[in-house]
Amino acid sequence: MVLELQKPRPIWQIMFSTHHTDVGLLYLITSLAFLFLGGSLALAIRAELFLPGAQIIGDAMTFNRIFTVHGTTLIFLFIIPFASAVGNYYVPIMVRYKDMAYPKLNAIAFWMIPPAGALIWLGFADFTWYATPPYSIISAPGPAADMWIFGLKDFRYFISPWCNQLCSYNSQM
Amino acid sequence: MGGHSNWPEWIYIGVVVALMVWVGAEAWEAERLVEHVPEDAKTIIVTGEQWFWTFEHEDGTKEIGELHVEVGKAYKFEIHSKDVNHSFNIHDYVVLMDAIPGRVNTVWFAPTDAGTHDIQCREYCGLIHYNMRGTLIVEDPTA
Repeated sequence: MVLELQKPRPIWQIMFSTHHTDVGLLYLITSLAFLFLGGSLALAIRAELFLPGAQIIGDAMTFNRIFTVHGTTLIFLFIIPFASAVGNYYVPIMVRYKDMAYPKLNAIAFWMIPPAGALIWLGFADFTWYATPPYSIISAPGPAADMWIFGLKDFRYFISPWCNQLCSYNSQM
Repeated sequence: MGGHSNWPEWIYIGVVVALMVWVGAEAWEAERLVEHVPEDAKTIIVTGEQWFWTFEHEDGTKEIGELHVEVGKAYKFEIHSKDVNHSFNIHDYVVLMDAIPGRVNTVWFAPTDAGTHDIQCREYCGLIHYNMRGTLIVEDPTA
């Protein structure tokens, strides 16, 4: 069954859509936005490292926070959602199925990304994208670390894996 | 379709097996060299903490930020951490071993020439990680 999408559509129709091509495009747009956000942090890091000593970023902790959020953003808010974009858009077409299994759950999984990204970016933690303990544990009773943990673990890995296992055509981790 | 020749396949398998045996033997030998601490190696207890290195020699001498060793002798580092993960690195001698709290990691080296070399932390450990450095001073007692 081929679904003809009516276009142009009001934004709320796209936001509340559960169709796999819509969700796939939302994934794509979001992940590309985070690609540029994380990339701008990469540019800041390289600009700072252009010469020895501190030039642009005055204190070490700000630099540490920048490379942490840079790595976290590009791994968890770009690479993984980008894979989900490709999977959501193409895999149901490739397997000749009308939509993802559990489309609402699939859409919810996408809508976990904006709050997760907001937590990571508003917290701006400093313990690298590995969050290696015990350093990350020592920093944890602080808003930045807690927001990073909630941003990654609860939003990204609590609901999304449910979708994965249930949808089974979803390519995200 | 019997009777076709498959000797190129057997040569291919033979070459691949020989290469893998050779790589495996080299790797085993390299690992033996790296892990076999010489019996006359002197032990140096290395302690990482935010954000400096402490060295304790066998005679109890302690150094902070500097490590004096002698040319031609072998040294075994016993690497500790007092707080978070660090990584003990002497770049010029390819010494690199994590310092993990609650655990002792060992690595050894034998300096070949007199001179000074950088010691640095190679695992992100907080605010002053970037400046958690030390100096290795290799001395020639005969000079």
